Amino acid sequence: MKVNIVDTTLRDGEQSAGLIFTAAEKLSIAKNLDKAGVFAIEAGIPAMGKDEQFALASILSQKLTPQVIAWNRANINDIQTSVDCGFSCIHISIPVSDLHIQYKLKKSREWVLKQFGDSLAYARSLGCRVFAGAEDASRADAQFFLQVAEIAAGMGAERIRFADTIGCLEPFKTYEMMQRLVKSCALPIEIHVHNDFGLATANTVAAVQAGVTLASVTVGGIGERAGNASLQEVVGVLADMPGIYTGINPARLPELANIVSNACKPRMSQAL
Amino acid sequence: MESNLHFADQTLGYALYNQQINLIELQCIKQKISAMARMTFDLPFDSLYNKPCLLKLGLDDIRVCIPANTIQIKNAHELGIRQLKIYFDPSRQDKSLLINALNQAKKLRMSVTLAALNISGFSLHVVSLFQKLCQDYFFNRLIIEDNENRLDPLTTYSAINNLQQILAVELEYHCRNTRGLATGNVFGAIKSGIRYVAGSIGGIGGYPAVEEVLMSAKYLLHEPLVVPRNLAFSCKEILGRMGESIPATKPIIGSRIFAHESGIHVDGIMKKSELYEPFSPETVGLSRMIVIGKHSGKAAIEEKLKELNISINPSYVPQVLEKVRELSVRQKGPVTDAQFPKLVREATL
Repeated sequence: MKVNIVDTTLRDGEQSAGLIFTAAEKLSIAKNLDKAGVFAIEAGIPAMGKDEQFALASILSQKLTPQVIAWNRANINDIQTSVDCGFSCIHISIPVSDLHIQYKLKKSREWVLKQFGDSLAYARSLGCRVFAGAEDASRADAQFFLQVAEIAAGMGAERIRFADTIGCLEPFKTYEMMQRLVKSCALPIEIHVHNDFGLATANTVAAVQAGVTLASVTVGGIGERAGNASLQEVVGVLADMPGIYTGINPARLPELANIVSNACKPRMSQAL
Repeated sequence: MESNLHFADQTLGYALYNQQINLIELQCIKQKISAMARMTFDLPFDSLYNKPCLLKLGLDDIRVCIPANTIQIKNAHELGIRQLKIYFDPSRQDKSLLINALNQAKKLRMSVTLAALNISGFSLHVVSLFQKLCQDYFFNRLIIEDNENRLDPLTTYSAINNLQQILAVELEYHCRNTRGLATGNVFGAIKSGIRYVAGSIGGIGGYPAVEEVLMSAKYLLHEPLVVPRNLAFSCKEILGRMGESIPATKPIIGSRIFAHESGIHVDGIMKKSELYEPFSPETVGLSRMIVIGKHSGKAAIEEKLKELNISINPSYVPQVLEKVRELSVRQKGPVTDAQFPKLVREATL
């Protein structure tokens, strides 16, 4: 079984508080992710402004082999900005837990389904490939997650990210949940976890053991709070599992890790 | 009812072997670790034999690691040691060595935990050996160790369950973190019913991190554990005394695990912290920080203005945000509290 590695170093990884990659660093990381053989590169968020768009356009101009994806909230402005930047691969994220829907969005499940459907339809109308993202899925009602996936599938999305946004999953719950969802989900599931309890690699591996075929990772596990699942660790464990391959060239990983590690170092601040 | 989960601490042994640390420091480290959870400290026999002053660390909760050697066991007894972890490799050593060692320990009324079973790969022959040993000799527990690091949480759970059907002795689980699975594997072990697990503070020495196991057992397995409110500080102090530092994003105790910059996250945290935090910073004695930088949104700017007591017309917030993004990209780093007021002035000109 092929497990496709979706790398989000440049997006979720860069969201590690205080971290900024320069445009040159982003380009170098993207090129090295390509050399390492990742399936997809989630390159950034065009809605963040001109500097970000410049960096992303530079990556797009390389015509790299992996899918190069822009991350978007479920709104027309974000999506239009991504398309104007040159993206044809669009990830659209929406919260699916009642906790997020009620307290963050202050909306309803019905609103989420409509907003998501409309956003996906808009991206598709512009000729984009779309990938759905379910934020805080690990705390969402499973049936609602499946409903969201159904809507996304109907609008032509190619897969759906199951995000353990606050890192509260554990391997047995992950395995049990993914086993059920993989059977009934309208789309292939991409597992995306965080490392708040030190379980990110374990949870990603458990998801693969349950039949999940896409794993979201960052180089060195950098990311929000205690970070994401580490590309090196996940690929290392999966390489030892019979019948599983990721397409990653392990010989490329030390250099990739070095480049990212250097890019994570701050520069001396300049005086105003 | 309080949890009976028990750690076999490897931190102190690591400190002994690897660092030039004096007895007073070691006593302090031991005391701080003892305050976190039920602990037994695994120490190598040769360290204690060569430096008998270390016996002052107190032997009640120290377990001395010793090979299956009757002379060394006798020497340990003469030093006042009463708790042993006897290690034995059934694939390389004759069982008569082990039997003699167990007999010697029994004669000297010493308590024994046996470290002998490689859970990554064991033959039926080895399992039958231990089945027989469990029947004929008394030892407190049998340590099963994932020596080849081939298991993951699910296979660890299955392997332990299988062994528990066959072996009539309490099992203790040890592993290393070579593949990033240690906490998950220990989680699997605890889930299978194991009450004694190896760990070290901060995962030092490549062992499962005690703080990760404690918190995941409490919050995700609902073990009735009491997590000390100064956990992060305590770990920092322990590792500091060993000349080690904690990576800023280390799960549970890293100084920046509650630092938030992303606009969506900060906006969420301001509304309800549970949206983006699995447990509050206060749970482990850390604090939240809002970082102002490239990823910031309006909520963070508004929060920082309030925090620094700067009052502006809300319509200027987008301009402040734009200035923040420009500066943070230019300096490849977040905007400091010292820089922020000047940015606000420029934006409101």
